[in-house]
Amino acid sequence: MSEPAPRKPIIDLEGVSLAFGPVRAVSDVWLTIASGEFFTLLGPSGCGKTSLLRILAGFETPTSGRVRLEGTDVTTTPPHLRPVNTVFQSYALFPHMTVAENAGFGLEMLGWPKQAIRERVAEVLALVGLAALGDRRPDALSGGQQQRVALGRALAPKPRVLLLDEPMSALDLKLRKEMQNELRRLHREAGITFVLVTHDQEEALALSDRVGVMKEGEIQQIATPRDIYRQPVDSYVADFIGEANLIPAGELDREGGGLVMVRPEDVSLAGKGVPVRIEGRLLELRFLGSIVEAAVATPGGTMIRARFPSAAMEEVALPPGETVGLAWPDAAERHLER
Amino acid sequence: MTQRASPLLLTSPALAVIGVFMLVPLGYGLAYSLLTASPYGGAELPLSTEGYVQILFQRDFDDSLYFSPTYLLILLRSIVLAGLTSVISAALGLPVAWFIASRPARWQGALLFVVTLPFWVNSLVRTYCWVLLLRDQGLINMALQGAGLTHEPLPLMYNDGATLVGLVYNFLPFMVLPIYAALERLDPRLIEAAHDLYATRRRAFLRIVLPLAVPGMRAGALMVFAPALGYFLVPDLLGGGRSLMIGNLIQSAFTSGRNWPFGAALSTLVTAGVLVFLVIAARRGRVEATP
Ligand SMILES: Nc1ncnc2c1ncn2[C@@H]1O[C@H](COP(=O)(O)OP(=O)(O)O)[C@@H](O)[C@H]1O
Ligand SMILES: [Mg+2]
Repeated sequence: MSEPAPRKPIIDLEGVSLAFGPVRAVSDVWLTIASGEFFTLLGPSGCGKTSLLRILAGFETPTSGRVRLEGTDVTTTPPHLRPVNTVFQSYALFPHMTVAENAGFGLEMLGWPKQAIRERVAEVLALVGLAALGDRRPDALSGGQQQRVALGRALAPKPRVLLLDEPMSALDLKLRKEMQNELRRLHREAGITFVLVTHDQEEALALSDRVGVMKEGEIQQIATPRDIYRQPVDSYVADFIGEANLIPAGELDREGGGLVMVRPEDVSLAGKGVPVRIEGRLLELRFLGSIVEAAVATPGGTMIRARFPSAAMEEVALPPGETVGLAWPDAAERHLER
Repeated sequence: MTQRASPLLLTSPALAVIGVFMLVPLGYGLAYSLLTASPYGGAELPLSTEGYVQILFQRDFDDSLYFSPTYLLILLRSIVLAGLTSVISAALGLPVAWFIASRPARWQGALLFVVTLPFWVNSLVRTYCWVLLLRDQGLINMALQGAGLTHEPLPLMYNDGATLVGLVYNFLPFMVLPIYAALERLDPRLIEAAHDLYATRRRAFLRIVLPLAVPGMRAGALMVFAPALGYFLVPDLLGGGRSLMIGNLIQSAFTSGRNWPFGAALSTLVTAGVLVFLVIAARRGRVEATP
């Protein structure tokens, strides 16, 4: 299920598959990415994210299907003829060139005049905050700085699309948050299409206009972060994005089977006058400062987590083992077939 | 419980090997170069610098010295031929090493074995094979005449060209191996990154692969130049009397020439020259490694 793309499409994947011998790394992907969009491919390690990105860059030719870039079929176009640049997971900076030479490499290959290269490199290095380090070699830079060089190098030729393969995975947490803000800023300022690959759902939700959740080579769902979170199409997506309570419909006396998904922050202990959805035994009540987390086991053996403001807890002080009622609003639940 | 061995004890095997196999022979060479030649070979006291003097000068009948460039020219030819051998080996070794390094991992071992295969055959036999190829009635001349391209044998043997071919053939593996070692460490993503940044295959090779192969080529050049400089088998068989190298001079000084101090002086000179060359190369390598 895919949403209509909001703006002019720049990338069209039409039934793209890629097999490595018996391994189907990418399988029948249909995807349209709009010009200027920040699109993220999200999924666990080995689900085919990098393979899909490499198809976009031109490093792999799909086994079947077609790739269009601004309407032109580029399925078999080699990487050096695509107006697309990549930020590699390992950065892949040229070790024998300075930061400025790295950043200017693409322009040089495109045949820009020397003076224009110098100006653009200065501009790009300023953009990624490395204006003072143009003469350094990559091995004299920190991980975060190398990351910025990789970004600057890929942005310098003003590509139509920037591909980023887990650009933050080698950075520590603090730096990662910083780079996420940087990426949003760069996306805004450069005004080009970003396709990001990550296994970090928080990152995907925080940065993207739309997210494609992948599983074993297939795209399970394509939607805005909000819709992915609120309306996951199946238990895989629900579970992968944030935390989800997946309750068999039978336990809630619903018809038709399947699962009912409720996010922990929507579940509360039923107070007076609130209809109880399901009862269970309180396993644990954890006080986490501003919020309280409760774990409840239903008679059917499902574990339900609830998370609510600690202010709501003042009146109810419950010992573990007690039977409690759980409540949530209608709008918070979603019925999943599988 | 472990007992701490002293550093001296730990390094003593290495020191012994270096001492016995390197320093002792070098010391002998140096000592012999400073003695007087015995009439029937060997050397004897008193001490003399005659061996070194003979490299540049000859003695007239009246015992006066006059400058003679004969040996100097041979020394010069040796340096030029060994240098050309390094350059040609590098030019040939780079594509070979690149070919091997870009094969799938399981093929690389086999291909490297093929490169080193000639080492398993005696150098004399291998060089003699070139004689069979290059001589007047050799395979190449017979084939050329058979095809009607030439009417008389081309003079392929007994010149500097033949010596050069033989040297390159003998020392090429010493160039391929270090270049391969440099290229094998090259992250394939770098080449992908170059393509991604609009480089064609040729430009990716020139701008990424070639510069990163240079340290390997430099190491290979040392490993080819040093032994090629003193090699005597190839110039002997393929160069004949017309393309003498310093190795032939040393060999004949110790055998038919019965002038051991002269041979030892030449050997010492070559060794010292190579050492200076190595030190300079090592210095340059270190300077470039620390930008
Ligand atoms: N060059 C290759 N040869 C064989 N299998 C590959 C190759 N590249 C990727 N794969 C396989 O394809 C699947 C998807 O890999 P990848 O796209 O790297 O996943 P991700 O980036 O999501 O971790 C994995 O099972 C991986 O082992
Ligand atoms: Mg990956």
